[in-house]
Parts: sequence; structure tokens; C-alpha cells
Amino acid sequence: MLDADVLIIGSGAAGMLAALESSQTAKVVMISKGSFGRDGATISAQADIAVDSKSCSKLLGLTRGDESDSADFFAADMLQEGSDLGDAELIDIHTHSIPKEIKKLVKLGLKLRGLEHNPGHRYPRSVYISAVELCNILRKEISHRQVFTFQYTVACDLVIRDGQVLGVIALDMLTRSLMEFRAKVTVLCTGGGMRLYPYSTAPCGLTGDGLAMAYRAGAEMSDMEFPMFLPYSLLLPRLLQGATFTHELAMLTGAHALNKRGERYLEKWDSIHMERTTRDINAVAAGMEIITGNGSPNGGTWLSLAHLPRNLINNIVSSLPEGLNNWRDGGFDLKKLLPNLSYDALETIPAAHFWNGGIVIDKDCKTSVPGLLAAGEGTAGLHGANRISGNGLAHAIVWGVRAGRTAAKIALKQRYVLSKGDGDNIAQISENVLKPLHKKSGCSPIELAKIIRTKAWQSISLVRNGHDINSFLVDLRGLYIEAEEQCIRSNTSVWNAELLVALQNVNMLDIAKVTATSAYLREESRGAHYRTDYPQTDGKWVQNVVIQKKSEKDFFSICRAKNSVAAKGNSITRTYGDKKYYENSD
Amino acid sequence: METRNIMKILIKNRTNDIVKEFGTNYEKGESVLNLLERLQETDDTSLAFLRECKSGKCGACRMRINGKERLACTEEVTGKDLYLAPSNYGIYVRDLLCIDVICGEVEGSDNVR
Repeated sequence: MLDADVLIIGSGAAGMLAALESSQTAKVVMISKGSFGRDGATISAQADIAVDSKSCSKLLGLTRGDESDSADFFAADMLQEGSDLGDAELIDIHTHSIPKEIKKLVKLGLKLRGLEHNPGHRYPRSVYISAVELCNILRKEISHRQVFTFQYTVACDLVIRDGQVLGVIALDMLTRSLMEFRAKVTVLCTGGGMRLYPYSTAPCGLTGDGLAMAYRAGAEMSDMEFPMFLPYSLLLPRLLQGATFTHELAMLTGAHALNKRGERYLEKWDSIHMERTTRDINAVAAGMEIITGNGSPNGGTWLSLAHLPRNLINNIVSSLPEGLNNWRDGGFDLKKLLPNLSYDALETIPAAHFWNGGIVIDKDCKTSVPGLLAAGEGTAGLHGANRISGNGLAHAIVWGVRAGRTAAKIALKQRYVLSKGDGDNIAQISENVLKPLHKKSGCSPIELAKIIRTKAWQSISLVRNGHDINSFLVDLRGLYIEAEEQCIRSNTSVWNAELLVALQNVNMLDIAKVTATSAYLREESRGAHYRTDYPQTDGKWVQNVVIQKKSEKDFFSICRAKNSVAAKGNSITRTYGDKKYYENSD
Repeated sequence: METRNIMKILIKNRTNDIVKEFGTNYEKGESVLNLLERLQETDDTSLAFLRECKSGKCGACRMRINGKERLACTEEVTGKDLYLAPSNYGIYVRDLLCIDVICGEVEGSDNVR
């Protein structure tokens, strides 16, 4: 058993920044599922951060910054791109905080490149960094602090007594023993659940563990129907599956997205912008080709550069902001692995990339459960129905720091770590976690994971309809029973990979259920959520679906989004409280 | 010439003793990591190795592949027999699993990337 002031779960940018912020005054313990500081989604981020153009030029000293931009304009763009479902208060804090936070990271040694103008933004706002460098910098800072880190320690469930979170029970992968962490305040920085889908750009560990734990603890979950899919992620060859440089190719060049007949299918969706339309339309268009049988042989669509001259292709590739210099991406030798792009098209697929919704938080990162904070990806409010580009890392950076600040305050105010004892759920958690080890027969966790992913892909991915979602919800009941009966074949106590998969399966089922329920309730199409039975966006639905588990039952509420939008002539006014965002729809 | 269909995978420990041996089909376009995942699924669920970003960035899956320090996720399977051994860096745990000392710089990551 280990006592701490602040317990942080997850070691991506949000978790590490929360630790740096709170460790100045509090005793901080961090646990991470994989290697410390490298296992989250941060390291594989596409690494652009959106900062309003004015601050880019004034505060960060980048050229090409346009001084007529402002944090308020950026906020208005975020609201608009999120189809008006974002929480204007959080967005306002976000856009005003991000320049300062980036400046702090620059002082720690982070190098910035920029500025690029990405789709969805009215001004050039994308500052490029190296995500690997960011992780290295933060890891090094943490090593200088008194932060206790436990890696390969899988958080299983939150310990709760009388509705208050007291810490977490975690599984140590190296000894297969359960550890009890107690803290005055617990911070979830666990990211999204993109690995619920078979095709994803996220690291293997992103199975929505934090989302599921918060849901089981009774936290409010909002906007869960909007996982974001990155169009044109690479499908083949297998070892490059989920690679994102092809998306950059499609966005920054005249690449053509083609169906099996060689038609540019985006003609039907956005004949003006074609492949350079927003990510949600791109993903839905590809999804429609795939489900109507017009996709590529391996279940994706084609992306072709073959109409471009060879030397131009080479030139484009070497000047991408991702820096595919000499055709290398990360450690991959693309010249060897990819076909010649002057002759051949690539098979691509929209792969799960980001979790737009998640745990409902207030401006201090407090969730609806006492003692529980959440930050970074997997918290709702900033992105609404669709995330604008450059806000993934930014979300982790701004809100990680804020969560750390709140956690430190709570730790100072509350004098003791609450004791456990009667009425908590530790015995129940331990039993649930270790159950698969004692089963003599039952389904294999690895097989079950495959089934869950396949079904989730069929019913709650790119293109949905009420009937399929409903039958998925029925199937889920059976899958929950199978998850109860999971049986582990290998009896090893040192790194039992099957046991980890078994734990993740339960989490995947929980987030699949919440996502499916939200998607079923939302009888319209908006942002990343597209329903063939309700293909239009419906003005009535400027509302957030909120789902909360209370005494083993799901309660859902549909509440008006926390902003208001009034259209007048050619201009739209967005307001929150007495704050107004103006914007022209030119 | 046709590519050989069945390939042999030999897993060694740090002192070069063979601890596990598998035979499996060659599948084009797979990485060594994809192959290990497949073996874990079909042959040996206890097989231990680390996998995280799968995009050549985090360095978790580094191991010795045919004697050379490499990342398993970026290394393409060629159809020839494979000799896999744990990385020379970090603390050796089991099979191909090596873990890092907590925090600070990653030991030996420059040698791989």
C-alpha cells in the first residue's frame, strides 16, 4: 500500500505536466501502463500545436504570424469546427492559456517550427514540434523532481467509498500482484479508447481504461459518440498500418482519393475542396464507399499520386512538415516498404485517431466524482463533435498543467489521506481482476478482443445506423457475459499479456456501450458522427448527450450545449455568458 | 523462384541459449512485431515482449534481430529464418522483454534509431 498526496494515472504529456505542476508542493505518485513517459499517445502525435497567430508572432517569435488573429477568433473556430457542441468556457480558457504553456516548454528546450495554415483555421496557427523531443524533455524534468513513478503498473479500478475516490488498485505486470495506491486526489491522464477499433493510429495501450474506470465510478461522460477517424491512414503493408504520413500527403498535395472503379468519390460530398475538405467529411465519404462495396480489396479506399510527375512527388515528400526526409518516417524506410508512388496507389483507411468526448470536467479539471480529476484526451468539452487540427497535444499540455494545479491545491487543503476500511470496493476489484486466472475453461481474451473490435468497427465507426447500433447493444450483453468467463491459458506470473488483454476487454466493452448508446440517442449527423438513417445535421441537436452510471444503471441526459449560436445575415455570433465571439461566414 | 512459405523463429536469451522455437507462415508486409503478435495469438500466449507506439518512435520493442539491435516494429519480415534475442540494454525480464530503468534518458536508444 502506498500513500500519496496526488496520484496520477498515465504518463503522456498531460500526466507528466500534471506531475511537474503538483510536485512543487505535494507528494506525487505516477503509474503508467507501459514504459514511463513513452507509452501514451503523446509520442506518436502528429505533433502540430495550434496557437493563435498573434501570440505565435508576438510571444513565440515565429514568422508568418498574422497579428489580426486573436485567442477569441481561435475560440470561435474551435466552436465552429466542433459543430457548436464545445463548452465555450473551457475553449476560452484553452485558447488563452496555450501560448503561455508553449512558452514555458520552449524555456525547457522545446524547439518550434512553423507556421503552417491547416484546414479549419482562419489563420496560420500550426506550430510544429517533435513529439519524441517533448516526451524526452518532460521525462528529464520529472527525473529531477521528487516524483515516484511506477511503470508497467496497470490501473484496474478506482477505490471508492461513499462516492469519494480514495485511490486505485493496480496490477504490477512484472509480478502479477495487486498494488493499492491511496491519495488525497487522483488524476486520470489516460487518453482515449482508439484501440477499441481494429484500425487505429494510436499506440497499443489506448484501450480507454481511464474512460471506463471513470464511467464505472459514476462520472458523467459526454460526447462519447464522436471518436475521430483520421482519413487516409495507411492500410498496407501491415507493418505500416496506421501510419499517418499518407494523411499529410493527401492534405498537402493534389493526391486523389479513389474507389474501386477509380472514381474520385469526394465529388459527391464536397466538389469544391475535394480531398482537402474537413477530416470528418473525408472519413464519412470513405466509410460510405467501403460499406457499399466500392472500396479496395483489403477494406479501405485508394490514394493515388500517380497523376503527378515523379520528381514533383519526391520534392513534395521531402518538404512535408512531418519531415519525410529521404523517405523515412520514424524508423521506417519508406523507399523499401512502399510501392513506387509514380505508378501505384496506396490502400488507405480512416483509422481511429482521437477521442473527442469523454469525462465531463469543469474549468479546474474536476469531474463529477469527488476526489477525481481528469485531463487531456478523454475529457469532454473542448472539441465538441470534431477536433480542429493541432489541438490534440495542446489539449494535453494546457489541461495537464491545470489538473496539476488543482490537485496541488486540494492536497494542501485536505490534511490526511482518507483511510479505507469498511464500505469500499477493494475486495470486489481484486476479485474481478484475478477472476480470469482461476477459470478452468472459457473464451480466450485475445479472441474476445478481436470479436469486440470487429463488431465495434461494423456498428459504431465511420458510418452508423440506428438498427446496427441497436443490434450491437444487444450483442454487447452477450460479450459482457463472455468477458465474465474469460480464461487465461498461460499461467506465468511475470508479464502475463493475456491477463492484461482480459482487463482491457472489460474496459473496451464499457466504452463501446457508452459510445453506442450516445450514437443511438443522437438522431442526426454531426461532425464525426454520421448516421445513414439521419444524414442531415439537425439544429435541434445543438445538445450534448451525457451518460452516467448510477447504482448499476445507465442514466442519460441530453442537455443544451454550453454556448449559444445566433445567426444573422452573413455573420454568426457565438456567445457564452457575457462573452461574445464574432465570426463571419465568408 | 518462389519464396519459402514456412519460416523458423528462434528466440534466445541473453546468453544465446535458445529458449523458444516456432514455425510459421511467411506473410508479406509484416513487421517482426506483427509476427510476434501473431505467434502470441496462435502459438504461445505466454510470449513476452513490449509493444507500444508501433511507429518506430518509443523504442519499447527494441531487440536483437539476427544479431543486430533493432526495433521490431520497423523491421520487415523477409521470409528467411529469424533469430530473436533480448536487447543488450535495460533489465532483462523474460523471452524478449527488457525494461528500462525508470525515468531519465532511454539507455541505448540512439543505437537503434
